[in-house]
Amino acid sequence: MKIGIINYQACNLKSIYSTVYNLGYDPIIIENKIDFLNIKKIIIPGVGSAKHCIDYLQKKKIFEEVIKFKNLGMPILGICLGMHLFAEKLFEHGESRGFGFIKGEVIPLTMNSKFNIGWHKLKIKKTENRFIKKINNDATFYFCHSYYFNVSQSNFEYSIATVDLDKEVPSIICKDNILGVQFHPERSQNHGVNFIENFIENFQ
Amino acid sequence: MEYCKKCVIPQTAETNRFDDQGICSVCRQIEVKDGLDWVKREKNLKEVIKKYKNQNDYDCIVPFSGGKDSTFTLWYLVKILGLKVLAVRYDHNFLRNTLNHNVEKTLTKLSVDFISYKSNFKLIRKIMKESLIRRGDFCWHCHVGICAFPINTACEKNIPLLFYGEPSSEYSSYYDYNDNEELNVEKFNIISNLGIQAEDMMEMLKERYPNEVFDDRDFKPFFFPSQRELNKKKIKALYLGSYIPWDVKKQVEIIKRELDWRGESVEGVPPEYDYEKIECALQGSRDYTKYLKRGFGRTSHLTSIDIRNKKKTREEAIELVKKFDGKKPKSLELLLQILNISEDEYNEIVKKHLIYPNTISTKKENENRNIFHEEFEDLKNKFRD
Repeated sequence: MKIGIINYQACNLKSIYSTVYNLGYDPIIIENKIDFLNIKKIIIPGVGSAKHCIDYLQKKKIFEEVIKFKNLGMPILGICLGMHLFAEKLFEHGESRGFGFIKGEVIPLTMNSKFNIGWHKLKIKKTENRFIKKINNDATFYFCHSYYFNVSQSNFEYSIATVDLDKEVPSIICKDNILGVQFHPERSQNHGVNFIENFIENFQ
Repeated sequence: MEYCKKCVIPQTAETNRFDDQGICSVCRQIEVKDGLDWVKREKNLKEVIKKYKNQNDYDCIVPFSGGKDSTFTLWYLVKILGLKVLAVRYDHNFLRNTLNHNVEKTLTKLSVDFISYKSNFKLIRKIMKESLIRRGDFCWHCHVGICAFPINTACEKNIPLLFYGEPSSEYSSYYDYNDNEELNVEKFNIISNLGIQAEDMMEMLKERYPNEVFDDRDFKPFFFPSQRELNKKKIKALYLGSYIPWDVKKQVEIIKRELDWRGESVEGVPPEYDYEKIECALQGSRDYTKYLKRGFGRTSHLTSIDIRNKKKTREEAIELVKKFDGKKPKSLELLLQILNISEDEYNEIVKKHLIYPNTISTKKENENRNIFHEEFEDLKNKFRD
């Protein structure tokens, strides 16, 4: 199965590429519109700043391809910044417009610390979703971010897991064929590998 | 040297950690074993089997040395679970007569198909020496072979399910009973290959013997597949002991009764443990090398298992350990002949691998039981240049 990984010239492609490759699937780095051919699922990695990433994707015409891919009902996993792109507005290094798949904005963490770096357990809402049920409740995942996805009240239902910092911040957002995670599964040892395998095998 | 307060394993044992009460991590692992939900685990086993049964030419592979664990595993899968099993053996070159008889009997009685593989001895003896020099352990080819050969066979023949027997949590702390222990690239690299890949070994030998020609193809059986290949082919190498409670003594009774499996005496091991490690003529030397490095031998290991399972007191164990551990075995002569080194050279090499705070004792007692004289002479002739 061909899994596309979006390259926006800042992200940690190699760790996601290796995870997908070692799991036995065929990772394809997406750098242009044409690379979307025969791709079954997309992963948007998450390292870098929002403004640079969005400007780059716009310039390369990948931005609208991702929207088309989503409208075809194809599954997309956004990691950290990759998830933030699903929002309507982002405020990292200036204001920019995201895909707008989920209502909300990406704003800085306003707790004691401006950063959340480290391992956390998730608080997962009870659900019948087959994909979500396969996530181990005791698993810890690696987080590294200074912005978070402030989901609008009307879209709260899509935040299906949170992480308990000083306040509860969304850690998994899931709507139809869109899946976003605040943590980095590609840096989260075995639990992270299982998460990515679960996305590829079970997320529709 | 500090010893576990419950069993007789010292602090030099690999991965054993000691807690505040001075009890080692393996003892603690076994304490929780009884409380595990074995009914659920057995149900999980049935589910795994259901998924793989009747899908390919064989339902599964059992890596089969003919020792107590793999014999029981084979018996259980064939007789209790009714699977069509392919038994696969990596032959390390030093199989003993009784073991060979047992293998014949078991395969006939269970009517199981069998593949055995032995790589050429000229290469093996060089690998053994290299492995002893670099790791203080001359068994690299066997550690790697028993993992890589069955897995490679599984890949080639498209038989994705394999069952090893004893889970490593029975005797070490790399994994505990709550980990999902599987033989994969991670486990192979952590435990089996002593940190030496097949390609490393190849280059090491080329460097050590610059005037000799090595055929790269000879090393092929020692290559372990990549994790990508294992995942792609959905290979699952599991441990039967993760699904049913592992009880060696009970299992030995079963295979003795059902398969006429016979025990044998082993150097440095009390006669009551006649079921342990009967597969290798060099076992006594392996355990002796470990004794020199770490200060404990096979009897400490075996009696500790019995203490944990409440079949022996610590005092009884200490008596046996004093009597049997650390005696210089007869098979050391054979090992030295194979490696083509003197005893002094052997001692010098082993000394470099000493595990702190153990010290090499200068007083060396010989094993005074002559336990496999005829077989031993045969082997010496076989491996003579």
